[in-house]
Amino acid sequence: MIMRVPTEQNSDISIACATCGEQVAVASGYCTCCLTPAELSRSVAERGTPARYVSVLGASGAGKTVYLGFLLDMLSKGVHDLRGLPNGPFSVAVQQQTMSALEQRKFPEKTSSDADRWRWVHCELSRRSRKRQTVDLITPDFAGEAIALEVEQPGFFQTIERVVSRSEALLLLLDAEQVRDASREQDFFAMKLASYLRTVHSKHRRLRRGRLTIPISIIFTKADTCLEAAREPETFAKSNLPGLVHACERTFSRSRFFAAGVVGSTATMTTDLGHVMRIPLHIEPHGVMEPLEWIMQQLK
Amino acid sequence: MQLEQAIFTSTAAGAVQGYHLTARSAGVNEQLAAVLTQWGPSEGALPEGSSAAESLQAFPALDQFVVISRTMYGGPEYSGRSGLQVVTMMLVVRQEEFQHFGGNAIELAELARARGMLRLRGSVSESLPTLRFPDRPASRFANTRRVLPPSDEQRMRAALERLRAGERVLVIGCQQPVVAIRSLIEAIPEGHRRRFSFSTGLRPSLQRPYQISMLPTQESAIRTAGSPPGLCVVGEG
Repeated sequence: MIMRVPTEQNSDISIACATCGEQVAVASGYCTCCLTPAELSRSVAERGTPARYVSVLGASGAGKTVYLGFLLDMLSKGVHDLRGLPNGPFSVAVQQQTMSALEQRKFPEKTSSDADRWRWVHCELSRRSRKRQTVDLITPDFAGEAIALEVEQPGFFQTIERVVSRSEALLLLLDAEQVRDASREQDFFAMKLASYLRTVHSKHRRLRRGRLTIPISIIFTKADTCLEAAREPETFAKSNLPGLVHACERTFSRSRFFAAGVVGSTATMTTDLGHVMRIPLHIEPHGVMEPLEWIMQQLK
Repeated sequence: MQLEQAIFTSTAAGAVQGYHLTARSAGVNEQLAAVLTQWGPSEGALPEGSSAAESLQAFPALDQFVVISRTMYGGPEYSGRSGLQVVTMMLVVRQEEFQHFGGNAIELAELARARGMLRLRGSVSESLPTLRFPDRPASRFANTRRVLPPSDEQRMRAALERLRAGERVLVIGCQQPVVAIRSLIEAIPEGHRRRFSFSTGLRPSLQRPYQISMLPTQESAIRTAGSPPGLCVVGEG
Protein backbone atom coordinates (compact mmCIF):
# COMPACT_ATOMS: atom_id res chain seq x y z
CA MET A 1 0.00 0.00 0.00
CA ILE A 2 2.91 2.33 0.61
CA MET A 3 5.33 3.38 -2.07
CA ARG A 4 7.80 6.18 -2.09
CA VAL A 5 8.67 8.62 -4.86
CA PRO A 6 12.50 8.52 -5.22
CA THR A 7 14.53 11.23 -3.58
CA GLU A 8 18.16 12.12 -3.58
CA GLN A 9 18.52 9.98 -0.49
CA ASN A 10 17.55 6.77 -2.18
CA SER A 11 19.12 7.19 -5.60
CA ASP A 12 22.71 6.39 -6.50
CA ILE A 13 23.08 8.26 -9.80
CA SER A 14 23.45 12.02 -9.82
CA ILE A 15 24.44 14.54 -12.48
CA ALA A 16 25.00 18.28 -12.66
CA CYS A 17 21.88 20.29 -13.45
CA ALA A 18 22.18 21.77 -16.92
CA THR A 19 20.68 25.05 -15.71
CA CYS A 20 22.15 25.78 -12.29
CA GLY A 21 24.95 23.24 -11.89
CA GLU A 22 23.62 21.71 -8.66
CA GLN A 23 23.83 17.95 -8.28
CA VAL A 24 20.59 16.22 -9.26
CA ALA A 25 19.57 12.64 -8.49
CA VAL A 26 18.44 11.28 -11.82
CA ALA A 27 15.68 9.24 -10.25
CA SER A 28 14.26 12.26 -8.43
CA GLY A 29 12.91 13.77 -11.63
CA TYR A 30 13.85 17.41 -10.96
CA CYS A 31 16.62 19.64 -9.78
CA THR A 32 15.39 20.74 -6.36
CA CYS A 33 16.97 24.15 -6.88
CA CYS A 34 15.54 25.22 -10.23
CA LEU A 35 13.17 22.35 -11.17
CA THR A 36 14.98 21.60 -14.42
CA PRO A 37 13.97 18.07 -15.40
CA ALA A 38 16.69 15.57 -14.60
CA GLU A 39 16.09 14.03 -18.01
CA LEU A 40 17.10 17.29 -19.68
CA SER A 41 20.27 17.53 -17.62
CA ARG A 42 21.07 13.94 -18.42
CA SER A 43 20.63 14.42 -22.17
CA VAL A 44 22.91 17.48 -22.08
CA ALA A 45 25.48 15.56 -20.05
CA GLU A 46 25.41 12.64 -22.47
CA ARG A 47 25.84 14.97 -25.41
CA GLY A 48 29.04 16.26 -23.88
CA THR A 49 28.80 19.91 -24.98
CA PRO A 50 27.38 22.61 -22.73
CA ALA A 51 23.86 23.79 -23.50
CA ARG A 52 23.43 27.25 -25.00
CA TYR A 53 20.07 28.45 -23.74
CA VAL A 54 17.52 30.43 -25.71
CA SER A 55 14.34 30.95 -23.72
CA VAL A 56 10.86 32.37 -24.21
CA LEU A 57 9.16 34.93 -21.95
CA GLY A 58 5.86 36.77 -22.06
CA ALA A 59 2.85 37.87 -20.05
CA SER A 60 -0.19 35.71 -19.41
CA GLY A 61 -2.19 35.31 -22.60
CA ALA A 62 0.60 36.52 -24.90
CA GLY A 63 0.53 33.21 -26.74
CA LYS A 64 3.71 31.54 -25.50
CA THR A 65 2.37 27.99 -25.67
CA VAL A 66 0.94 28.39 -29.17
CA TYR A 67 4.00 30.22 -30.48
CA LEU A 68 6.44 27.77 -28.93
CA GLY A 69 4.47 24.72 -30.01
CA PHE A 70 4.18 25.96 -33.55
CA LEU A 71 7.81 27.02 -33.68
CA LEU A 72 8.86 23.55 -32.60
CA ASP A 73 6.59 22.01 -35.21
CA MET A 74 8.16 24.13 -37.95
CA LEU A 75 11.66 23.42 -36.70
CA SER A 76 11.00 19.69 -36.74
CA LYS A 77 10.12 20.01 -40.43
CA GLY A 78 13.19 22.11 -41.19
CA VAL A 79 11.60 25.29 -42.53
CA HIS A 80 13.86 27.93 -44.06
CA ASP A 81 17.47 27.63 -43.00
CA LEU A 82 16.77 26.42 -39.51
CA ARG A 83 16.00 22.99 -38.25
CA GLY A 84 15.52 21.60 -34.80
CA LEU A 85 15.96 18.22 -33.25
CA PRO A 86 13.96 17.58 -30.06
CA ASN A 87 16.23 16.21 -27.39
CA GLY A 88 14.16 13.75 -25.41
CA PRO A 89 10.49 12.77 -25.57
CA PHE A 90 9.57 15.43 -23.01
CA SER A 91 10.54 18.06 -25.60
CA VAL A 92 7.70 17.07 -27.87
CA ALA A 93 4.96 17.65 -25.28
CA VAL A 94 4.43 21.36 -25.98
CA GLN A 95 4.43 20.79 -29.72
CA GLN A 96 1.97 17.93 -29.32
CA GLN A 97 -0.28 19.89 -26.95
CA THR A 98 -0.43 22.87 -29.31
CA MET A 99 -0.91 21.04 -32.58
CA SER A 100 -3.52 18.67 -31.11
CA ALA A 101 -5.50 21.56 -29.71
CA LEU A 102 -5.37 23.54 -32.95
CA GLU A 103 -6.45 20.50 -34.94
CA GLN A 104 -9.47 20.29 -32.68
CA ARG A 105 -10.27 23.92 -33.33
CA LYS A 106 -9.32 25.16 -29.91
CA PHE A 107 -6.45 26.88 -28.16
CA PRO A 108 -4.35 24.99 -25.61
CA GLU A 109 -5.40 25.30 -22.00
CA LYS A 110 -3.81 27.87 -19.79
CA THR A 111 -0.40 26.96 -18.42
CA SER A 112 -0.30 26.15 -14.71
CA SER A 113 1.47 28.56 -12.36
CA ASP A 114 3.05 25.59 -10.56
CA ALA A 115 6.67 25.58 -11.61
CA ASP A 116 6.93 21.80 -11.29
CA ARG A 117 4.14 21.40 -13.85
CA TRP A 118 5.75 23.45 -16.59
CA ARG A 119 6.55 21.58 -19.76
CA TRP A 120 10.17 21.95 -20.72
CA VAL A 121 11.51 22.09 -24.23
CA HIS A 122 14.98 21.18 -25.38
CA CYS A 123 15.48 21.50 -29.10
CA GLU A 124 18.91 21.43 -30.68
CA LEU A 125 18.96 24.08 -33.38
CA SER A 126 21.22 24.14 -36.37
CA ARG A 127 21.43 26.02 -39.64
CA ARG A 128 21.73 24.28 -42.97
CA SER A 129 24.13 26.97 -44.13
CA ARG A 130 26.30 26.77 -41.00
CA LYS A 131 26.14 23.23 -39.76
CA ARG A 132 28.73 23.74 -37.05
CA GLN A 133 26.66 26.33 -35.28
CA THR A 134 24.32 24.65 -32.82
CA VAL A 135 22.23 26.38 -30.21
CA ASP A 136 19.80 24.88 -27.72
CA LEU A 137 16.29 26.18 -27.52
CA ILE A 138 15.82 25.34 -23.84
CA THR A 139 12.91 26.86 -22.07
CA PRO A 140 10.06 25.83 -19.86
CA ASP A 141 6.70 26.88 -21.18
CA PHE A 142 6.41 29.45 -18.39
CA ALA A 143 3.11 30.59 -16.96
CA GLY A 144 2.76 34.27 -17.73
CA GLU A 145 1.59 35.22 -14.28
CA ALA A 146 4.65 33.50 -12.83
CA ILE A 147 6.83 35.73 -14.99
CA ALA A 148 4.87 38.79 -13.89
CA LEU A 149 5.21 37.80 -10.25
CA GLU A 150 8.92 37.08 -10.59
CA VAL A 151 9.45 40.50 -12.18
CA GLU A 152 7.65 42.15 -9.25
CA GLN A 153 9.32 39.96 -6.63
CA PRO A 154 12.65 38.67 -7.96
CA GLY A 155 13.47 35.28 -6.54
CA PHE A 156 9.86 34.17 -6.13
CA PHE A 157 10.34 31.66 -8.91
CA GLN A 158 13.92 30.40 -8.84
CA THR A 159 13.30 28.53 -12.08
CA ILE A 160 12.72 31.74 -14.00
CA GLU A 161 15.74 33.51 -12.57
CA ARG A 162 18.01 30.55 -13.24
CA VAL A 163 16.83 30.01 -16.80
CA VAL A 164 16.99 33.70 -17.64
CA SER A 165 20.48 34.03 -16.19
CA ARG A 166 21.58 31.05 -18.23
CA SER A 167 20.10 32.32 -21.49
CA GLU A 168 22.32 33.59 -24.26
CA ALA A 169 19.31 34.96 -26.11
CA LEU A 170 15.65 35.63 -25.38
CA LEU A 171 12.36 35.67 -27.22
CA LEU A 172 9.97 38.13 -25.56
CA LEU A 173 6.32 37.82 -26.58
CA LEU A 174 3.80 40.63 -26.36
CA ASP A 175 0.15 40.38 -27.40
CA ALA A 176 -0.25 42.84 -30.28
CA GLU A 177 -3.94 43.36 -29.54
CA GLN A 178 -3.22 44.11 -25.89
CA VAL A 179 -0.43 46.46 -26.86
CA ARG A 180 -2.75 48.30 -29.21
CA ASP A 181 -5.71 48.45 -26.82
CA ALA A 182 -3.99 48.72 -23.41
CA SER A 183 -0.58 50.01 -24.35
CA ARG A 184 0.30 51.68 -21.05
CA GLU A 185 -0.08 48.49 -19.00
CA GLN A 186 1.82 46.49 -21.58
CA ASP A 187 4.54 49.12 -21.72
CA PHE A 188 4.92 49.09 -17.93
CA PHE A 189 5.15 45.32 -17.88
CA ALA A 190 7.71 45.27 -20.68
CA MET A 191 9.80 47.98 -19.01
CA LYS A 192 9.78 46.05 -15.74
CA LEU A 193 10.79 42.91 -17.58
CA ALA A 194 13.67 44.70 -19.29
CA SER A 195 14.84 45.99 -15.93
CA TYR A 196 14.52 42.52 -14.44
CA LEU A 197 16.59 41.00 -17.24
CA ARG A 198 19.33 43.50 -16.61
CA THR A 199 19.26 42.85 -12.87
CA VAL A 200 19.45 39.08 -13.30
CA HIS A 201 22.25 39.17 -15.82
CA SER A 202 24.15 41.76 -13.82
CA LYS A 203 23.88 39.55 -10.74
CA HIS A 204 24.79 36.25 -12.34
CA ARG A 205 27.32 37.45 -14.86
CA ARG A 206 28.76 40.22 -12.73
CA LEU A 207 28.03 42.86 -15.31
CA ARG A 208 28.54 46.27 -13.79
CA ARG A 209 28.27 48.69 -16.66
CA GLY A 210 27.24 48.84 -20.25
CA ARG A 211 24.39 47.28 -22.06
CA LEU A 212 23.58 43.59 -22.14
CA THR A 213 24.90 41.91 -25.24
CA ILE A 214 22.40 39.05 -25.30
CA PRO A 215 20.20 39.38 -28.39
CA ILE A 216 16.50 39.83 -27.69
CA SER A 217 13.73 39.30 -30.20
CA ILE A 218 10.60 41.14 -29.15
CA ILE A 219 7.65 39.54 -30.91
CA PHE A 220 4.17 40.98 -31.30
CA THR A 221 2.00 37.86 -31.28
CA LYS A 222 -1.49 37.52 -32.76
CA ALA A 223 -0.41 40.03 -35.38
CA ASP A 224 -2.97 38.60 -37.79
CA THR A 225 -5.57 40.60 -35.85
CA CYS A 226 -3.39 43.69 -35.60
CA LEU A 227 -2.25 44.77 -39.03
CA GLU A 228 -0.38 47.79 -37.71
CA ALA A 229 1.97 45.46 -35.86
CA ALA A 230 2.19 43.00 -38.73
CA ARG A 231 3.20 45.61 -41.30
CA GLU A 232 5.71 47.65 -39.32
CA PRO A 233 6.57 46.20 -35.93
CA GLU A 234 9.29 48.76 -35.21
CA THR A 235 6.96 51.68 -35.87
CA PHE A 236 4.21 49.94 -33.92
CA ALA A 237 6.57 49.59 -30.97
CA LYS A 238 7.63 53.23 -31.06
CA SER A 239 4.02 54.38 -31.20
CA ASN A 240 2.66 52.12 -28.47
CA LEU A 241 5.56 51.11 -26.26
CA PRO A 242 7.79 54.16 -25.95
CA GLY A 243 9.00 53.08 -22.52
CA LEU A 244 10.12 49.69 -23.76
CA VAL A 245 11.79 51.14 -26.84
CA HIS A 246 13.76 53.52 -24.64
CA ALA A 247 14.56 50.73 -22.17
CA CYS A 248 15.84 48.54 -25.02
CA GLU A 249 18.11 51.29 -26.30
CA ARG A 250 19.56 51.73 -22.83
CA THR A 251 19.68 48.10 -21.73
CA PHE A 252 20.30 45.89 -24.76
CA SER A 253 22.91 46.33 -27.46
CA ARG A 254 21.04 43.93 -29.73
CA SER A 255 17.26 43.91 -29.87
CA ARG A 256 14.77 43.81 -32.65
CA PHE A 257 11.00 43.91 -33.02
CA PHE A 258 9.05 41.31 -34.97
CA ALA A 259 5.43 40.40 -35.60
CA ALA A 260 4.08 36.87 -35.74
CA GLY A 261 0.79 35.09 -36.07
CA VAL A 262 -0.27 31.46 -36.12
CA VAL A 263 -4.00 31.39 -36.72
CA GLY A 264 -5.35 33.40 -39.58
CA SER A 265 -8.60 34.27 -37.90
CA THR A 266 -10.65 33.38 -34.87
CA ALA A 267 -14.29 33.21 -33.94
CA THR A 268 -16.07 33.49 -30.62
CA MET A 269 -18.33 30.67 -29.58
CA THR A 270 -20.74 30.37 -26.69
CA THR A 271 -21.31 26.85 -25.39
CA ASP A 272 -24.62 25.51 -24.13
CA LEU A 273 -23.37 26.26 -20.60
CA GLY A 274 -22.78 29.90 -21.46
CA HIS A 275 -19.00 29.56 -21.68
CA VAL A 276 -17.39 31.92 -24.16
CA MET A 277 -14.47 30.46 -26.05
CA ARG A 278 -12.24 31.68 -28.85
CA ILE A 279 -11.95 29.28 -31.75
CA PRO A 280 -9.04 29.22 -34.17
CA LEU A 281 -10.57 28.97 -37.62
CA HIS A 282 -7.53 27.98 -39.59
CA ILE A 283 -3.76 27.85 -39.38
CA GLU A 284 -1.89 30.55 -41.24
CA PRO A 285 1.54 31.04 -39.72
CA HIS A 286 3.63 34.06 -40.55
CA GLY A 287 6.65 35.58 -38.90
CA VAL A 288 7.14 32.58 -36.60
CA MET A 289 10.68 31.64 -37.64
CA GLU A 290 12.16 35.06 -38.32
CA PRO A 291 12.82 36.06 -34.67
CA LEU A 292 14.74 32.87 -34.03
CA GLU A 293 16.61 33.12 -37.32
CA TRP A 294 17.74 36.60 -36.36
CA ILE A 295 18.93 35.30 -33.00
CA MET A 296 20.89 32.54 -34.67
CA GLN A 297 22.58 35.14 -36.83
CA GLN A 298 23.49 37.15 -33.75
CA LEU A 299 24.95 34.19 -31.89
CA LYS A 300 28.40 33.02 -32.88
CA MET B 1 -12.83 37.01 16.61
CA GLN B 2 -12.00 38.46 13.22
CA LEU B 3 -11.00 36.64 10.07
CA GLU B 4 -9.20 38.13 7.15
CA GLN B 5 -10.09 36.79 3.74
CA ALA B 6 -8.76 36.64 0.21
CA ILE B 7 -9.64 35.17 -3.17
CA PHE B 8 -7.13 33.61 -5.55
CA THR B 9 -8.25 33.01 -9.10
CA SER B 10 -7.70 34.01 -12.73
CA THR B 11 -8.98 37.34 -14.01
CA ALA B 12 -7.91 40.04 -16.42
CA ALA B 13 -8.77 42.92 -14.13
CA GLY B 14 -6.40 45.85 -13.92
CA ALA B 15 -2.68 45.52 -14.34
CA VAL B 16 -2.46 41.81 -13.57
CA GLN B 17 -3.71 39.03 -15.80
CA GLY B 18 -4.05 35.39 -14.95
CA TYR B 19 -3.94 33.71 -11.57
CA HIS B 20 -3.31 36.08 -8.71
CA LEU B 21 -4.82 37.36 -5.47
CA THR B 22 -7.82 39.14 -6.95
CA ALA B 23 -9.36 40.34 -3.71
CA ARG B 24 -8.34 40.65 -0.08
CA SER B 25 -9.40 42.26 3.16
CA ALA B 26 -7.50 45.07 4.85
CA GLY B 27 -5.61 42.83 7.26
CA VAL B 28 -3.84 40.93 4.45
CA ASN B 29 -0.61 42.88 4.10
CA GLU B 30 1.94 42.44 1.31
CA GLN B 31 3.97 39.85 3.19
CA LEU B 32 0.91 37.72 3.88
CA ALA B 33 -0.32 38.25 0.32
CA ALA B 34 2.94 36.83 -1.00
CA VAL B 35 2.46 33.68 1.08
CA LEU B 36 -1.15 33.31 -0.06
CA THR B 37 -0.02 33.72 -3.67
CA GLN B 38 2.62 31.03 -3.29
CA TRP B 39 0.02 28.59 -1.98
CA GLY B 40 -2.65 29.62 -4.48
CA PRO B 41 -3.65 26.79 -6.81
CA SER B 42 -3.96 27.57 -10.51
CA GLU B 43 -4.76 25.77 -13.74
CA GLY B 44 -4.56 22.03 -13.37
CA ALA B 45 -4.43 21.97 -9.57
CA LEU B 46 -7.77 20.21 -9.29
CA PRO B 47 -8.01 16.75 -10.81
CA GLU B 48 -9.71 16.65 -14.17
CA GLY B 49 -12.91 14.84 -14.87
CA SER B 50 -15.50 16.72 -12.88
CA SER B 51 -16.46 20.35 -12.70
CA ALA B 52 -17.72 19.58 -9.19
CA ALA B 53 -14.23 18.75 -7.92
CA GLU B 54 -13.26 20.69 -4.85
CA SER B 55 -10.67 20.68 -2.12
CA LEU B 56 -10.27 21.91 1.42
CA GLN B 57 -6.87 23.07 2.62
CA ALA B 58 -5.10 24.44 5.64
CA PHE B 59 -1.54 25.66 6.04
CA PRO B 60 0.45 27.85 8.41
CA ALA B 61 1.36 31.32 7.13
CA LEU B 62 4.30 33.24 8.54
CA ASP B 63 4.41 32.40 12.25
CA GLN B 64 1.22 33.92 13.47
CA PHE B 65 -1.48 32.74 11.09
CA VAL B 66 -3.30 29.69 9.81
CA VAL B 67 -4.98 29.83 6.41
CA ILE B 68 -8.03 27.73 5.69
CA SER B 69 -9.13 27.64 2.09
CA ARG B 70 -11.52 25.95 -0.25
CA THR B 71 -10.77 25.45 -3.94
CA MET B 72 -13.34 24.76 -6.58
CA TYR B 73 -14.06 25.39 -10.24
CA GLY B 74 -15.68 28.69 -11.14
CA GLY B 75 -16.81 29.95 -14.50
CA PRO B 76 -14.92 29.70 -17.77
CA GLU B 77 -11.36 30.95 -17.71
CA TYR B 78 -11.40 34.62 -18.78
CA SER B 79 -9.12 34.34 -21.80
CA GLY B 80 -11.52 32.16 -23.76
CA ARG B 81 -9.25 29.15 -23.81
CA SER B 82 -10.76 25.82 -22.94
CA GLY B 83 -11.02 25.11 -19.25
CA LEU B 84 -12.65 26.46 -16.13
CA GLN B 85 -11.06 28.92 -13.76
CA VAL B 86 -9.88 27.51 -10.44
CA VAL B 87 -11.17 29.65 -7.57
CA THR B 88 -9.81 29.54 -4.02
CA MET B 89 -11.53 31.28 -1.15
CA MET B 90 -9.15 31.85 1.77
CA LEU B 91 -9.74 32.64 5.41
CA VAL B 92 -6.88 33.82 7.61
CA VAL B 93 -7.05 33.24 11.36
CA ARG B 94 -4.56 34.10 14.07
CA GLN B 95 -2.86 31.13 15.69
CA GLU B 96 -3.92 32.06 19.22
CA GLU B 97 -7.56 32.20 18.10
CA PHE B 98 -7.20 29.02 16.06
CA GLN B 99 -6.34 27.18 19.27
CA HIS B 100 -9.88 27.89 20.56
CA PHE B 101 -10.99 25.45 17.87
CA GLY B 102 -8.55 22.86 19.14
CA GLY B 103 -6.26 23.60 16.20
CA ASN B 104 -8.72 21.67 14.04
CA ALA B 105 -9.06 23.36 10.68
CA ILE B 106 -11.94 21.13 9.65
CA GLU B 107 -13.92 22.29 12.69
CA LEU B 108 -13.38 25.91 11.73
CA ALA B 109 -14.01 25.30 8.04
CA GLU B 110 -17.33 23.59 8.68
CA LEU B 111 -18.51 26.45 10.85
CA ALA B 112 -17.34 28.92 8.23
CA ARG B 113 -19.29 27.15 5.51
CA ALA B 114 -22.38 27.01 7.71
CA ARG B 115 -22.11 30.81 8.01
CA GLY B 116 -21.92 31.23 4.23
CA MET B 117 -18.17 31.65 3.91
CA LEU B 118 -15.80 29.78 1.61
CA ARG B 119 -18.41 29.88 -1.14
CA LEU B 120 -18.31 31.01 -4.73
CA ARG B 121 -19.71 34.46 -5.35
CA GLY B 122 -21.14 35.94 -8.49
CA SER B 123 -19.19 39.15 -8.29
CA VAL B 124 -16.46 40.31 -5.98
CA SER B 125 -14.82 43.66 -5.37
CA GLU B 126 -11.07 43.88 -4.87
CA SER B 127 -11.54 45.02 -1.31
CA LEU B 128 -13.17 42.44 0.96
CA PRO B 129 -14.47 43.03 4.46
CA THR B 130 -12.82 41.58 7.54
CA LEU B 131 -15.23 38.96 8.86
CA ARG B 132 -16.65 38.54 12.33
CA PHE B 133 -16.56 34.96 13.52
CA PRO B 134 -17.50 33.10 16.72
CA ASP B 135 -14.64 32.77 19.17
CA ARG B 136 -15.41 29.12 19.76
CA PRO B 137 -17.17 26.24 18.05
CA ALA B 138 -20.95 26.10 18.42
CA SER B 139 -21.01 23.16 20.79
CA ARG B 140 -18.60 20.47 21.75
CA PHE B 141 -21.45 18.17 22.64
CA ALA B 142 -23.35 18.27 19.40
CA ASN B 143 -20.52 16.94 17.23
CA THR B 144 -21.83 14.13 15.15
CA ARG B 145 -19.05 12.05 13.73
CA ARG B 146 -19.42 10.11 10.57
CA VAL B 147 -18.02 6.64 10.80
CA LEU B 148 -14.96 6.23 8.64
CA PRO B 149 -15.00 3.32 6.20
CA PRO B 150 -12.43 0.72 7.24
CA SER B 151 -10.34 1.41 4.14
CA ASP B 152 -10.13 5.12 5.04
CA GLU B 153 -9.20 4.25 8.60
CA GLN B 154 -6.44 2.03 7.33
CA ARG B 155 -5.12 4.76 5.08
CA MET B 156 -5.15 7.34 7.85
CA ARG B 157 -3.28 5.02 10.20
CA ALA B 158 -0.61 4.47 7.58
CA ALA B 159 -0.47 8.18 6.80
CA LEU B 160 -0.12 9.12 10.46
CA GLU B 161 2.76 6.70 10.81
CA ARG B 162 4.58 8.35 7.88
CA LEU B 163 3.81 11.84 9.15
CA ARG B 164 5.32 10.96 12.53
CA ALA B 165 8.43 9.86 10.64
CA GLY B 166 8.63 13.37 9.18
CA GLU B 167 7.52 12.46 5.68
CA ARG B 168 5.07 14.16 3.38
CA VAL B 169 2.23 11.91 2.36
CA LEU B 170 -0.11 11.53 -0.58
CA VAL B 171 -3.20 9.47 0.22
CA ILE B 172 -5.03 7.92 -2.70
CA GLY B 173 -8.57 6.66 -2.77
CA CYS B 174 -10.17 7.91 0.44
CA GLN B 175 -13.94 7.70 0.21
CA GLN B 176 -14.55 10.52 2.68
CA PRO B 177 -11.45 12.71 2.61
CA VAL B 178 -12.76 15.52 4.84
CA VAL B 179 -13.94 13.10 7.52
CA ALA B 180 -10.66 11.22 7.22
CA ILE B 181 -8.60 14.36 7.68
CA ARG B 182 -10.67 15.35 10.71
CA SER B 183 -9.93 11.98 12.33
CA LEU B 184 -6.25 12.38 11.49
CA ILE B 185 -6.12 15.83 13.05
CA GLU B 186 -7.77 14.50 16.19
CA ALA B 187 -5.02 11.90 16.45
CA ILE B 188 -2.37 14.64 16.43
CA PRO B 189 -1.60 16.25 19.81
CA GLU B 190 -3.08 19.76 19.96
CA GLY B 191 0.29 21.35 20.42
CA HIS B 192 1.44 19.96 17.07
CA ARG B 193 -1.56 21.05 15.05
CA ARG B 194 -0.61 24.70 14.62
CA ARG B 195 1.84 23.90 11.82
CA PHE B 196 -0.04 20.99 10.31
CA SER B 197 -0.98 21.41 6.63
CA PHE B 198 -3.25 19.37 4.43
CA SER B 199 -5.20 19.32 1.19
CA THR B 200 -8.16 17.05 0.55
CA GLY B 201 -8.17 17.29 -3.23
CA LEU B 202 -5.34 19.24 -4.88
CA ARG B 203 -2.65 17.66 -6.98
CA PRO B 204 0.66 17.64 -5.10
CA SER B 205 3.06 20.39 -6.05
CA LEU B 206 6.46 21.53 -4.86
CA GLN B 207 5.02 25.01 -4.63
CA ARG B 208 2.44 23.89 -2.03
CA PRO B 209 4.28 21.55 0.33
CA TYR B 210 1.29 20.17 2.23
CA GLN B 211 2.23 17.56 4.78
CA ILE B 212 -0.65 15.46 3.58
CA SER B 213 -2.38 15.60 0.21
CA MET B 214 -5.30 13.50 -0.90
CA LEU B 215 -6.55 12.48 -4.31
CA PRO B 216 -9.51 10.30 -5.22
CA THR B 217 -7.55 8.11 -7.62
CA GLN B 218 -4.01 7.58 -8.78
CA GLU B 219 -3.73 9.91 -11.74
CA SER B 220 -1.62 8.96 -14.69
CA ALA B 221 0.62 11.98 -14.22
CA ILE B 222 1.48 10.81 -10.72
CA ARG B 223 1.76 7.20 -11.75
CA THR B 224 4.49 8.15 -14.18
CA ALA B 225 6.62 9.79 -11.48
CA GLY B 226 5.09 13.24 -11.91
CA SER B 227 4.79 13.60 -8.16
CA PRO B 228 7.15 15.86 -6.25
CA PRO B 229 10.13 13.89 -4.98
CA GLY B 230 10.09 12.67 -1.42
CA LEU B 231 6.36 12.06 -1.34
CA CYS B 232 5.15 8.88 0.32
CA VAL B 233 2.10 7.49 -1.47
CA VAL B 234 -0.47 5.66 0.64
CA GLY B 235 -3.32 3.83 -1.00
CA GLU B 236 -3.43 2.58 -4.56
CA GLY B 237 -0.06 1.29 -5.68
